Amino acid sequence: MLGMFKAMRTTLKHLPMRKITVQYPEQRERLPERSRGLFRVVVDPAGGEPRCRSCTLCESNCPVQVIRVNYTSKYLLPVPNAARLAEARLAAQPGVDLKPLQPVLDDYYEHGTGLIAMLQNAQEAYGYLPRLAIQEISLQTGVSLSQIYGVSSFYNQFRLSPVGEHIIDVCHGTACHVAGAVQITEALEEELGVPDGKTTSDMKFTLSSVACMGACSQAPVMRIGAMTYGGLTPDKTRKIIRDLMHEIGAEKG
Amino acid sequence: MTGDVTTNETDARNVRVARRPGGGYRVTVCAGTACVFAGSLAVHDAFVEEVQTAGLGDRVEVSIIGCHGLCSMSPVVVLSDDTLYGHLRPDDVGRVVEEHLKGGAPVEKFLYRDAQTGVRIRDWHEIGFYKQQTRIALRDVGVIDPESIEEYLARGGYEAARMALTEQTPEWIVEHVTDSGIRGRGGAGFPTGVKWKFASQSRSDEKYIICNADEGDPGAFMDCSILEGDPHAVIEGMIIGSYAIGAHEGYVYVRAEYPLAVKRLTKAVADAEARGYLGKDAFGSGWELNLHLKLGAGAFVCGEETALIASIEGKRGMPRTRPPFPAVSGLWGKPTNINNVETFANIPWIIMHGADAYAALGVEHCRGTKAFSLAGKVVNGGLVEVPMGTSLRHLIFDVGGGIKNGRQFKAVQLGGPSGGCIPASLLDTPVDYESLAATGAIVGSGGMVVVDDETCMVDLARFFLDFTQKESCGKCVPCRLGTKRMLETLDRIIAGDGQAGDIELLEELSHYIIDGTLCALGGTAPNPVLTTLKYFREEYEAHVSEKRCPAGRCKALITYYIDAEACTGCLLCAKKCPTDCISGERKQPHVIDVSACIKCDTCRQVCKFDAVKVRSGIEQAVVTSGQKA
Amino acid sequence: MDTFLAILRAVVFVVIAYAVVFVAALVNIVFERRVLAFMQDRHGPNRTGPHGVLQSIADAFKMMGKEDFRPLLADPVLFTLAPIMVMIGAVAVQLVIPYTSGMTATGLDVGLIFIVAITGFTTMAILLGGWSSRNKYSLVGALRAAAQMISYEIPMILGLLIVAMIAGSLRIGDVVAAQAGYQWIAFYAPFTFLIFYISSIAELNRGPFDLPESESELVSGYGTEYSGMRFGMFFLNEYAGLTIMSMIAVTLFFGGWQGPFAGAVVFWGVSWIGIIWFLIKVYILVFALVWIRLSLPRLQVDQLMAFAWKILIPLGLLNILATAAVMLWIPHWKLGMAVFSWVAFFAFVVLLDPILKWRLRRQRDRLPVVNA
Repeated sequence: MLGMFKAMRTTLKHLPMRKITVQYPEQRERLPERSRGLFRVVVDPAGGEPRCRSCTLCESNCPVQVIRVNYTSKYLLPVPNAARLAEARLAAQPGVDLKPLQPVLDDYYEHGTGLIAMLQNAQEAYGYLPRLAIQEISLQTGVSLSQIYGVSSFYNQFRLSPVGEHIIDVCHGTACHVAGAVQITEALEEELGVPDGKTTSDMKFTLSSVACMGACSQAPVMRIGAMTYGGLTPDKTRKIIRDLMHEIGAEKG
Repeated sequence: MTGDVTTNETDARNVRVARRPGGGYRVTVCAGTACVFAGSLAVHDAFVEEVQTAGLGDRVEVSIIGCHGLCSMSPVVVLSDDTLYGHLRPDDVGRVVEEHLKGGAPVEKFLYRDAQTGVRIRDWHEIGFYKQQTRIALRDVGVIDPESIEEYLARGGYEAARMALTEQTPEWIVEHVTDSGIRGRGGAGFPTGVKWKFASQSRSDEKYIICNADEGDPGAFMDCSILEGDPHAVIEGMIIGSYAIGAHEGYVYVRAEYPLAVKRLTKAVADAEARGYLGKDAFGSGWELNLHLKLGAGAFVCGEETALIASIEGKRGMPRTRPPFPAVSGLWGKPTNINNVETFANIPWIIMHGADAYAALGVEHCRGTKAFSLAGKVVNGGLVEVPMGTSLRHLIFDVGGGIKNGRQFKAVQLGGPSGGCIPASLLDTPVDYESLAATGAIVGSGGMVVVDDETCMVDLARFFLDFTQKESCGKCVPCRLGTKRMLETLDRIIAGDGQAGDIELLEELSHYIIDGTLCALGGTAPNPVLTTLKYFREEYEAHVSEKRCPAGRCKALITYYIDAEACTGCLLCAKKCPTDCISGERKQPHVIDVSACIKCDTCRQVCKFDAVKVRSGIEQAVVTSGQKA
Repeated sequence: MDTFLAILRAVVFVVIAYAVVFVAALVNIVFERRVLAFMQDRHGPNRTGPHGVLQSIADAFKMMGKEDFRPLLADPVLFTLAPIMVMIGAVAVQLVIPYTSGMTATGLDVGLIFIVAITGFTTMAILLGGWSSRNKYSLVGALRAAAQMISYEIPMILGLLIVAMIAGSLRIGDVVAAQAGYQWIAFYAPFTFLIFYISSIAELNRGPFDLPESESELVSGYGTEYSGMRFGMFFLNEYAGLTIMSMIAVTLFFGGWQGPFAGAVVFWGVSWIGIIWFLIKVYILVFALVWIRLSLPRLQVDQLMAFAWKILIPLGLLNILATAAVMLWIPHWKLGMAVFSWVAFFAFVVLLDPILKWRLRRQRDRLPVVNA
């Protein structure tokens, strides 16, 4: 029984103690620095404009309905608010031109191409998918930016950052792996001075690994632009890349 | 070829050309991916030029063909007198034109050389690789110019479609296909006729037919070759299929990594439309089929049918649960039928020659033929098609010609990342869905990679798991996390940090993953690990307990050393070594500094005297020179 | 006229009784939730109304809004009757309890026995509810609850017997009067109070004896087939019981409405300060009930029954014997009783644990565990 009294004493001690509940929303918990969930509208450093485009995705998805998006104009497709579009374009990415995207959009309006095909064409036009292009596609097709981002980050083909002039694809299919593709990539990494998947700082070369290109009898193979090379060894690879670097005047790193 | 039951229009044409004054030739340059990589297009251009220069323009026709099959000889050139040349370079073309086309004498240097007898074989029909094949899906691949619809028609193309659309009923077609016993050639092996029946029975105003050309398996290039070498066969198959199930819209989903296939398919569709085989009123029968090309964007999981459908709809390629099956609710919620490229390529042949002819090939439950891409350490690597039920031994040793460089056969990897490794003891297993499933592997799409004793099975398992982990779509937890953990474990083992219990952990994880995943990517991802564990457990044990790699591959568990007896002191390796860790004087045996060696394998590959060797097991910072036992 | 007044008086008291039950139930719900929360370092409901006082009303509205149904197979009459009946005990008991001086509904001559008898209604209602649900699990749950309640009525009665002996009468009014001058029975018979209190906790299905309650949360119980307001009745009765049982305890052991300045304000023959003291004492005891419920782990059903039959009842009987002996033979019996009771109280508190442990060890040694 004494134990019970001890238990009761403990609980009684807690009665006047400070309560640990944080009375939201009057009080707020102090979050650590990199907490996610900080809710504010981000201002684009390039233009000083808020990036929010009033897509109201956040409002409709919030489980506790604490978000209200007040906007003065809503994009009604297919005629977007031209003034705001112009603003958005200027603010989004200086230096990226929308002209190459026009054929892609024309194709969409004529034939109703699918989203993935549009992104592929856009990537062909720019070499990668600039944020501006994705934004424009989102505005014109009505597919939300978040969904396009979801699609473009899912597929390996899409690149969201610029690539070099020459893309070196080293095949890492089964036959090539067994034939020593790993050493080829390592040799290239050394010669170019960049890890696999990255671009050299002078933007001349991007090193990437691809899964099977279908030339298994030539294993290991690599492709640089339109040139294909088969039956490689690390030695041969070094020679090829050194010649190429010399030819176009590229530097390591 | 044995079992070649196609019309010999091509042969007739060859004969006509040969009858030209002075003796004519047709020169066909293989333009399949492997040969293109080896520079066959340059060879083609060289032929055109040289023929003109030699003044043979009226006697010699030069054209391209799809993959002829013997990719290990790429670039391959086949002449109308059945001469097969391999390993040609543009500079050698002049010689061939001079000596053979003009002079009539084949150039021995570029003929196929039998590895065992050393004899040069001129007529490709005599080469063992070709003798054992029965090409049905590949009947026109390597024979016709894939960019010419005329050549396809000359071989009897589109006859089956015409007959089916104008004379037969959809039910007849479905019955015929079912009787032939053809099973899906994409890997699942589901009876195609049954699939078509389900789709045809679904009631809907719109139906779709899709060709799955997303051949994601690394090491498989059969679908690639069919699309590049004979795209019209696939189109014809789809026309017949659409009529059978009642679909008016068709999609061909090709992976973007096959630009040549995309190009040829686009042209083929345009040509077919121009002739009225596609579009409204195909063949004048009133049937409509519109074919669209969709490019994949580099996701292996999109080879799975529901993920493929999601991708066509413009979403992330994530599979969904079935039921409902695509035959009931697929693309845009409508009944959809998805088949593999090879399956469609077989259909016109079946319709023309009858279900019984197809069923006569192969074995019970597994009728017909299957195309395989034989790659890896075989002598004759390339594209083959054999009847179902052929034994692996026959495929690898008789057709493939055995192991390259005289090494030992260790295992054959079937079915890509979803399949498994089969050891030498099971080489007599017949190739059919059930027998292979019993071994733990799968037939899969037909990719076959042969490995020799220099390949580490643990590393191979890791390679496949790395692939499936990267390609995992992330929707379900067992695949997303399970493969990641398995990969981490394998990485640890290969890096030398394997602990007791790791092997059991791999097995346990494998079973959880197989039980819990949503689609076949996850469901088959542990297969490479499970089969290698089953048949090569001692390699795993060596990696984990003894910290050595018996095959001499895993960098953390091997040591490079120079055999002092064989080394002639030529300094070649020392020059090439990227870390300059080889020391030695001229004419003195060289020595590798193990602490600086990064095991890049350069020295071993450049040494002409085979003096650089690999020993399994790690040795710490002791300069070895072959004196240690 | 007199009869009219008498009837009016009766009606007023009944209304007060019902009002007390409902209000007390609602108040207790919030009170308990807040106190529980505070002891658990959190706030509890503090949004509805200032400091959350309107929370119960919100809960009541919610409960009233629920769908009212009766399972097809359930006995139509009994099923509806059970929730109605359950309140009777709580209400009727108040008719003999003096809220303050001069404010008793009836001064029954057998008040003590009346209390015990009427609290049996709750047990009956629970049994009815479990039986009429036509559900095996409900029945088992109800039987367990009933078993617990009747087992613990006995030590309760034994405690009450001592009170009767001390007061010399079964009338509640006499019991209160016997405690005049701060001679509260709890002070000189703490052991008795302890036994009574423990039994009353068990009667209420509260605190460490809440097995029927927890079962219905986890598996089933007598309340399975009840929903909405029907269940609400059971629920309210339970919370009202906190107050009612505390009222009984206060009346019998803590001097009822007596306290400093109790006689100060007398209006209409009723001492208004007395009510305040009564309420204060009642709510101290309610707080104690909540406190105990929070602090102590639940007893298993066999431990529960064993505690009643093998410990409380023998001790209760011994207590009666000892009290009787003291009253007979010791001249200053109150002092003697105080000494005895306090000694017994401490002995019980200190020795219960070790004795139980010793018995358990002996049992274990005699019957070694066999691995099945």
